[in-house]
Amino acid sequence: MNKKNVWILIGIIVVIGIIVWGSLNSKKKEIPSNQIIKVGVILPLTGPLAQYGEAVKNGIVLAEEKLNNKKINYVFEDSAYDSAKTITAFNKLKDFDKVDVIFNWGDPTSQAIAPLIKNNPFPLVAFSTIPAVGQMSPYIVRAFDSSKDFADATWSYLRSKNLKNIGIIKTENPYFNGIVDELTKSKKVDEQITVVDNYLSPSDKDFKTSIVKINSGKEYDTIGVFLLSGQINQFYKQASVLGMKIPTFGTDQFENQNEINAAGDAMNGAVYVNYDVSDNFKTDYKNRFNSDSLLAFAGLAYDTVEMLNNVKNNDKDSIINTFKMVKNYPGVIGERNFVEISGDQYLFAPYHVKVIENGVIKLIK
Amino acid sequence: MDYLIHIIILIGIYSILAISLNLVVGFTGLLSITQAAFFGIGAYATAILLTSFGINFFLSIIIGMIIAGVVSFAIGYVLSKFNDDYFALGSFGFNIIVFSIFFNWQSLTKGPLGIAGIPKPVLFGLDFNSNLYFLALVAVFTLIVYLLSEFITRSSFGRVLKAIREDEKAIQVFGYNILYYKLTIFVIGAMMASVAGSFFASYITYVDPSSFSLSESIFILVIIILGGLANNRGAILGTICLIVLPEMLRFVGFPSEIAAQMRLMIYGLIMVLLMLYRPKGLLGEYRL
Repeated sequence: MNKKNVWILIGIIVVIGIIVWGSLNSKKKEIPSNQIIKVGVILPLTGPLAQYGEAVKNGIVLAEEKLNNKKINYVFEDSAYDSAKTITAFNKLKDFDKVDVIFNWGDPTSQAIAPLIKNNPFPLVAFSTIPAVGQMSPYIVRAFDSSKDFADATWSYLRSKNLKNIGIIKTENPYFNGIVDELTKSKKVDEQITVVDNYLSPSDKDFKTSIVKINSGKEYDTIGVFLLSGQINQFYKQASVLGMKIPTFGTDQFENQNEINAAGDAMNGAVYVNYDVSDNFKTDYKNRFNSDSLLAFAGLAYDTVEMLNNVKNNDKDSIINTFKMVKNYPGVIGERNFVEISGDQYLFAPYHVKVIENGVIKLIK
Repeated sequence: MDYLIHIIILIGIYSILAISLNLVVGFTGLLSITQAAFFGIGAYATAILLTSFGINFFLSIIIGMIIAGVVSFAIGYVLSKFNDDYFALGSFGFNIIVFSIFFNWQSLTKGPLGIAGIPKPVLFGLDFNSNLYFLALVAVFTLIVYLLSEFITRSSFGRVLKAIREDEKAIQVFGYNILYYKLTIFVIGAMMASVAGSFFASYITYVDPSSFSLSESIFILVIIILGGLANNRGAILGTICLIVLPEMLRFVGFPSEIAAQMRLMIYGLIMVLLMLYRPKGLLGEYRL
């Protein structure tokens, strides 16, 4: 490449930079910063977990439209579920967009930015299940329950049915790994957990080998299906064809009508633990986005936005204290309460056990 | 300001990576798709040594380099039996093996949960916790790696590497030990990549396997192809373009519903156009 072309390329980059800089500055003049609360939202909008990012974003958009609070603005950034990209987005939101609070979705990405908050206090709402994230700074509040809460609710159901020997089939994912860790930690002496198979990629859809292993090997009382959307219906269809009779349980991933419909009768009797998303929210969400996937994630985000609606001004203490004062809050995923355990701060919501019967999700009392 | 400093730090770290790969791919003609593995070895060495043993960051760099050197020597010896596409496939396989180790050796690497809380470097009481100091440190190491690479490629050793790239058989006729040259540059490249990994771990303060996947190796390869193979300045220019371009696209005012996807599409389109009109890259001297 000759020098002329290099200079042309550099010139193009500089021109775009100037335009961007100019547009940013002009935007700043329009906004009276003391009256507006700017919320930076970092989500995996591309990459393997983009469906979660989309669900969370939809929850925020729905709340924004319902509340119609002109004082709160949202700026979305893509993390692609990558720690370095999340830090880049975090710095961009703080430096250029001058946001007052950041929402971040994901365990590894929250772990990456939490130390930045520790050194430089700034309100962060982390959609993370890891207590260490909440322990990092008084300015971090987790919007998820811990994996331990999920594991406790799951064990409570399994013990009520006297299911002790548990096999698990799962996709490698920090969220699922956290749950399996907690299930293992809280098992009793006579209870057993065996990971039958780990699938490295969410695109793995052939589970026949695992099912044959389950059918022909060790006798499990129940099988934990810790798979993602798109995999779940495939697993159940293949299990049905291969005659697997062992009862199954799963995660919040099961609360997806598309999966249930795609699996047909094969998912009958499958049990899972999740938040109880309100019917009104389900209807509103379906009407707005023509989807009923990952509603719990959308509901969590919806509640968080609704809580933020009560913030009076944009200083960091007011913002974080708004979340810390949450008590008996009637959220769309159930009653929310701020909890502080060993320095970890999070917004608790109760888990419920649900069962799929004839394509319909029912609550187990 | 933190944002700009952050971008420049990333440019520094990825420049080290790109220069290291350029030695192997650009100057020697070995199509290696495994640099992320050595990047990861350096990152995990630093993460584990700093969080579990409290070792000094600079010592962890050296240990990371030694581990990467030993591993790359073993794997390079095996890969040296292959040429062209087979070399690429072998290195591809190696990246997958290392990634799987990061993922599954949970007692050491904590698997997909990753290692958090990696401290920043401290040297003679000087704490590099400030991003500005960290940037200065990265800049110094990037300069050292750049100068070292320039020295290697301008030396008689470097000329033999280029000759191997152009015609391996011909250089063998003159009595050169091809295995020695290939293996040496492969190990040097791996050790440099490990340095970048150490800086990455300490800067991000968190490592998990997803940062060292095959797609990361491909990203580094794209950097040097775009910047221009067999040119150290090209490696740095390619890094600047591929780190800065996606960031600039963050500021283009797409509607939020499609912004992330549109950015990726535009990014991809620019890459295709550049490859169509600049197949040798921006400052390249050699085409794969």
